[in-house]
Amino acid sequence: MGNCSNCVHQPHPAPQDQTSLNSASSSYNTSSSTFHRNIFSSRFSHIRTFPSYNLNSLIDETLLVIRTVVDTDQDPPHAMLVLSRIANREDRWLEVIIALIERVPMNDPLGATVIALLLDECLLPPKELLQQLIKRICLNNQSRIKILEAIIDEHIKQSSKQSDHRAIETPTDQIIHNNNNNNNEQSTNITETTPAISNQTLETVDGQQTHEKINKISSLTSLRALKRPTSPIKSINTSDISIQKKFDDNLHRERNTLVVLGCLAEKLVGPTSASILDTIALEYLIDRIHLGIYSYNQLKSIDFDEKNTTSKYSSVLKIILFALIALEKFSHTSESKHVLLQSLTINNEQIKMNILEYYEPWASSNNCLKRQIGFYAQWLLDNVFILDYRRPSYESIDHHHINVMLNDKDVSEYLKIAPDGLEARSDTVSFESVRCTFQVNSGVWYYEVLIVTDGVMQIGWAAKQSKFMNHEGYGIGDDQYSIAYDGCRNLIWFGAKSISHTNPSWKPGDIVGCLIDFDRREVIFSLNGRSLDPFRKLFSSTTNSSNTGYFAAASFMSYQHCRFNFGSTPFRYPPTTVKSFKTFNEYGQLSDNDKLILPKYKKLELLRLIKIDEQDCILCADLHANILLKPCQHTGFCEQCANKLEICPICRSEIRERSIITD
Amino acid sequence: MALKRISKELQDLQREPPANVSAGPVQPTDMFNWQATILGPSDSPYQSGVFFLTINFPTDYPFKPPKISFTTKIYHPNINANGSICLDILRSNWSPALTISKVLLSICSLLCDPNPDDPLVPEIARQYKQDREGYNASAREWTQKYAM
Repeated sequence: MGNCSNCVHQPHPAPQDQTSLNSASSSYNTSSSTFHRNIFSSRFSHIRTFPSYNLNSLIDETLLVIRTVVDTDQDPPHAMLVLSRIANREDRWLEVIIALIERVPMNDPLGATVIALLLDECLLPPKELLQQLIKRICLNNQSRIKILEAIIDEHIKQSSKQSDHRAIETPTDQIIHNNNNNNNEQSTNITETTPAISNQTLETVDGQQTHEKINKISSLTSLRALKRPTSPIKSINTSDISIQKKFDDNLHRERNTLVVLGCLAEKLVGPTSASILDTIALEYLIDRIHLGIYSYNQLKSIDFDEKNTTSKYSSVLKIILFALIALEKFSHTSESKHVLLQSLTINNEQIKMNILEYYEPWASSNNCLKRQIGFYAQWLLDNVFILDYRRPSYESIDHHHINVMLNDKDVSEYLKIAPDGLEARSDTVSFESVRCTFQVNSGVWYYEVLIVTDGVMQIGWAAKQSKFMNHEGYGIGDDQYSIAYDGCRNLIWFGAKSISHTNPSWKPGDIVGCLIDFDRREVIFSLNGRSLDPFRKLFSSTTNSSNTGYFAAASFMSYQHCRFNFGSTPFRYPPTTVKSFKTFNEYGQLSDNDKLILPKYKKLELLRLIKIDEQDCILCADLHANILLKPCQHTGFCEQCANKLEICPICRSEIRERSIITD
Repeated sequence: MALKRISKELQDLQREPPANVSAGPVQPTDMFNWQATILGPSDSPYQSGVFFLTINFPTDYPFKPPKISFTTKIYHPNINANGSICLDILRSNWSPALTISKVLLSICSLLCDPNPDDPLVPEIARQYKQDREGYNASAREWTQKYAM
């Protein structure tokens, strides 16, 4: 078992155990109730109050310990159990959520995941509590958004300085900013803001502010003309700087607030989720989604790549990303979807577009944060916010050089796959997995993976028999049929056990190499060309699948993202330890139809057209029912399903024989 | 495979909707995630309440049970603050021949007849056994507060 979600929810798991855990959209099931009842009550029943617990130190300890949970039999971190227990009390819930928002740092690879896991497990907040929370976390939106915009301004200045060799377009007179121009910051009045109003504010540009900006731009241009600016441009006055410094330490709050909003939207899908958007939360969310086009013209002309992933500007990008994630989760509730679609539409003199269309081209960016934003925007446009004039990307993409993809028919439910079939991400609390379309069983094969996020992913090789148990937290490397590299916790996973390795932790932009050598019966993983020692366990296990073969495969924890290269583009670190190797793309073959990664709603449209015959199996509704169970004599099952049964689904009596009925 | 079966259950639910319950995908694009409603049974303190639930189908449904939980707060010995339901057919006694429709009807009967001997919330179970009037009053109060 390789992931924290599992550790958290399943104290004593066993792969064959059929009981299930938390689910992708936060439903609470019987075994998680077992978890609460048995684990919490047995361990903490003596704790009536928690006077000695400091929430901040519990959060710190959770973040620290969760990375070291490396074994199936290990319990979830003690600190996390205590936190979860406290959050389950109605009188402490608000306090815990606020503490999470205040405390979880921006750059911890598992930070957002821990918030999602804890929220997934905690109680259903009553309406008043929810309203209180939103009032507190979305407070002072106006001043907060201004500071975020100031960071973008500063970034534009810095970057235009760096790229003074580039030709810069003359800035136009008008600067778009989605900031509500109302300068008095009465956040209590914000509830009256409707999407229509937000749109309107987009069109109107505060004269004074525009004037200020134009001045800044012209001073910028003149400085640029000097060619050799020697010191950083300082146009922010000292009081601004002090406010900003204070806020810099708080950028993580913005991200965490959006994680919390997204998780609540998902957990409380339906009327309650819609009621969250009836508050200042809507403006809060939409303002952050629009941040990317703040200073649209300047950004457009100086589109450079920010490499420093811990810079303030990167934090703004993360805020935009998590705003998009929250957007998707709110859109699960259909009454909200319409409101949100309206708020995404920009309609003014300069541009007429959906804000997501602005972000979509970022999908090919080398900046890993921009890439995620672009990927998400494209996915939302193809799957959720369908614009009638837009040609979906899965139809317009050029696939001709791609012969192997991630298999969109061999994937757990909530993984998002890019239209070219080579990139994937997950944003649920389940552990999502996928296999590729091509299987190998002899020779030497290699593929590479671009790490886009630095959290928990398990990337490697899996046989067909390896099962994806996303809700239980089992993925690649969590059974005898698969092996995986985990560069977040620095482990190799095989048979749900882990072996630590010596490579450094992965960072966005790193390359993981996966080599399988059937001749030498070994697997070699590498990070940026730095190879680990060969692993032979995959071939020595008794349930050896080397005859049937292996697929490239990967599992993703929440908010994780990576891109595969099966050989359609040159490798960054071709293996040096073997004489020769083959790539999937040279040998794979896919029809045009196979290459089409249809969105779910399209697949379902096709599914609805299929008639289900009354003679079909009552279990799968797919194959012809031709089996008679003996001795109970019950019928209605196909051969495939009958073979999976131990007892009759109708009378629960033991099955001794499955005989085929011939008409 | 699960998709086809889930799709069939949806068709059946639409063709013959059971009394007092309804269910369907939260959004048309995701067949694995449903929302359901249960009307509080008239012979129970939950009468006139509208209770929302989420349903999540596992990838290998129906060989594994769906995950069902309340998203409306409810005062019940077998349903906790998370909305988790303690019901045998959702756990060890699941059978692939069961359907969402049947499971929702079982949850309805659980509302009428709680099972205090296998409680998820021991305090409510104790009250249910020892002070039925107090239990009824609290359950009615919560229903009015959260489910109306």
